[in-house]
Amino acid sequence: IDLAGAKSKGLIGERSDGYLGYVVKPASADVQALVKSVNNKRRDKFRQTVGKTGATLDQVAKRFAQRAYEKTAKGNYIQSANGQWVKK
Amino acid sequence: CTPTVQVAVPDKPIEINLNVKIEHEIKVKVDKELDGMFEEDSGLF
Amino acid sequence: AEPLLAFNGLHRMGDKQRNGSLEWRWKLAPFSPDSSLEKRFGRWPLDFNALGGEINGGGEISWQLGETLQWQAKGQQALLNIGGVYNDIGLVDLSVENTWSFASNAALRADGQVSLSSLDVGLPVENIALSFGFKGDAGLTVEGFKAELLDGSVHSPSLQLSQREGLWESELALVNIRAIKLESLLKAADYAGLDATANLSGELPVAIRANKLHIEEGKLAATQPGYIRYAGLADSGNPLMEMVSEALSNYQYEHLTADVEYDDSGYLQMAVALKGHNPDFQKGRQVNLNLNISDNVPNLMKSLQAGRIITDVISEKLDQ
Repeated sequence: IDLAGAKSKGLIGERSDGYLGYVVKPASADVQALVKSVNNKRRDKFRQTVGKTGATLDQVAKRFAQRAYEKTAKGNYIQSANGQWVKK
Repeated sequence: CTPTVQVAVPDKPIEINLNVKIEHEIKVKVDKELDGMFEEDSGLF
Repeated sequence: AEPLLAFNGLHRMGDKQRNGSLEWRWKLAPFSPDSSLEKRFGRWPLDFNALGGEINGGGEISWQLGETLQWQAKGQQALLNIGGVYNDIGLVDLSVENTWSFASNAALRADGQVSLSSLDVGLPVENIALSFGFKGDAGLTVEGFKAELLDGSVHSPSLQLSQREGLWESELALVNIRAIKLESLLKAADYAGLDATANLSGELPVAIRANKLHIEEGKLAATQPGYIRYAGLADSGNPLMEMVSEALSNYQYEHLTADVEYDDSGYLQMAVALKGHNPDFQKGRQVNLNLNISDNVPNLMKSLQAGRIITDVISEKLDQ
């Protein structure tokens, strides 16, 4: 299963902390593997950005989340401020 | 006599004390770094 | 093509092979973006890459074999109009010309001049010049430092530097600031919502401690009236802040003094006292404004440098 597919099927969504989260729980093994792999790569990229810009990890992750919300396709899930999954 | 209204400029100066902490918006550079993650083939978005 | 390194030397042996002298000259082929320092040496360890300019030098050494071997050497080097990049900082037309001397019974000494037409740290610092004298462990003297930045200039008297545990330090030197313009900094950096003018001059007691710059009890003052227009406090919902925001919407000052401190925390601390008024605020009532400003200089530098790709800037300048 790929990232776009998992999102469009409503299995996963963009969390407010810049990482992917499970909308449907319990998630299948391959969805879990996908989410873990993507989140680890995101974390590395955030850390790299911290090194290059002097911003804090929190600032970088939040900024990513902001842009991820803007770019999320209609009908895909994003996490609202109070933690609820909401379809865009 | 006609009453005159004198508007004296308030003489006592106002004292304003402000603490200003400037950290500098580094968003521009952060954005430049994050752009790659939103590209098609990044597999991260 | 010109050899990367041209080296020639001449050795003359004295009679009975008890003494002799060697003279040598060397010259590196001129640098260019296609034949840069980095490209010539592949894995180049230093963070500095030369994209233009020349380096040459020469020297002589004479030796005598008595009970022990004695020798005396001296020479000179010249870096001419070097253009290059050091990390995220660009240099254009760096010239260093120095002489040196060294002997079996004397420490290494080097004296020279440095000039640099432009240093791009995110904002241009130009026409830098200084002369230096290095006397081994007696330390380094930097004389006559001057530089132009923010449409003003900085001048430093003689600065004595010495090394303690591998780190440079110096006593206090009174650096003179002449007519630097706040508006030039505001144009280069992002100070959201702030439009202001200040023509600042004064004296900054500067010292180097463990390789870090310190300013202690610096004094700056505006040499002419100016204004501050700040829109960052609007609609904060707090009545006091609303009043301050109104006062600062078009604050015109006649008097400005600033106490300046800077240490290895990276925060430039300025206690600024202004006397002035805003014609549209309480009928032009006198307002004494005291600002305690702390500005993170490393972040300032990063955000200044974020706005351009330095190698393009330098290659462009070298083409002119």
